[in-house]
Amino acid sequence: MTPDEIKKTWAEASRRFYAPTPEEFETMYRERKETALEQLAQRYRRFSRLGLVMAVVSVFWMFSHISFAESYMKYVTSIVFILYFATCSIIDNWLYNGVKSIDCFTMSVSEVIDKALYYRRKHLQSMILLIPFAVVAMGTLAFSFVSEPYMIYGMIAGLIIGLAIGLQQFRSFMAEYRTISKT
Amino acid sequence: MTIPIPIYSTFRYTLPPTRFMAFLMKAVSSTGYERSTREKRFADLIHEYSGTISGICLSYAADTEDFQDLRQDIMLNIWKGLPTFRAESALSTWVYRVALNTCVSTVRKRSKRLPTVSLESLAEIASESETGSIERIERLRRLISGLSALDKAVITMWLDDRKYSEIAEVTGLSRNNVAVRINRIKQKLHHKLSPLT
Repeated sequence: MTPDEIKKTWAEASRRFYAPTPEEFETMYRERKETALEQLAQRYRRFSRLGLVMAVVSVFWMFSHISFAESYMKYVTSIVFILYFATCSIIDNWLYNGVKSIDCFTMSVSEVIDKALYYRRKHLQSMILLIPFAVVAMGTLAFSFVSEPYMIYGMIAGLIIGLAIGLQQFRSFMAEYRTISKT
Repeated sequence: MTIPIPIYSTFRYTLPPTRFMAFLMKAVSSTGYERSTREKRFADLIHEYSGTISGICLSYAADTEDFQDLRQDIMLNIWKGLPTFRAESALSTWVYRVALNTCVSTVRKRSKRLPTVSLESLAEIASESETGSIERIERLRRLISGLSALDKAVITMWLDDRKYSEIAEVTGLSRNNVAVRINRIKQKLHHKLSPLT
């Protein structure tokens, strides 16, 4: 096919599409108030705020009357969780600001591609940091309640379910990370 | 109560009068309803560039659902961005920039379903006499889908007969880079599409 024939073929394809139907306008205006990018940014902002709230809640463990295995574990566990949730909140806030800075109206396509891939890569890399951190936090919690068998049983059950879901998520995570790294 | 809505396409719909349908009637009606400037501009723009937008979505979509999502996102972005358009570039350049940036800006998760977006499923073409041309279009579309995000942007604009300078402005590449990429992609397409001629 010559270049002109390729162009004619493509023009033929584009001509076959009618303008959006009223139903599509309806869906766009009523149900889809935000684009996928805006939804992603809002998700980061929600989790950033949630992380901040959880960090504040973790402070109250220091003043709680729950019986820990060792009295000092109250403070250790609280500090570990404060640090974990604060880290999550800071990372999510940074990602929110980054994704918000992508301007589809004024930036060039190569700029948008670079930014989108950069923040997606950072999202995946932050999971590499936060997942082990979460394991350490849960380990601290388990150690704190080592004398309470039902707490331990609950944590083991949660760990098994978490591992099953986590392995599936990890596979899709690695597939996506490999794709992004090649781009 | 239903209100007949004359629309610029060949179809005539009767729909219940909702608040948004009143907006749509005002935006696209040809019977002289009073229209706000923004609604009129938006309706005219979508009417003029619907083929272009659909072609861009066809290049980037992994499946039918993705195609619809992309098209709606692009329309939503155009609606939101239209008041901020300052005519620093041509309107066509702006539309291409918004449409392409919308498609490349979200890294979509690969669908677990097999890619199902086909021209027939999207444009409701059923004519048997068009089988040959549909196959050609399908083949071209699949080849373009296999390119990188930036190459898709370059080739989609080239296929729409846009000038190299406009392609360079929208993609952020230099004019030489655009020419080199187009040449490389043309050779690839020519090589892979040749058996169909």
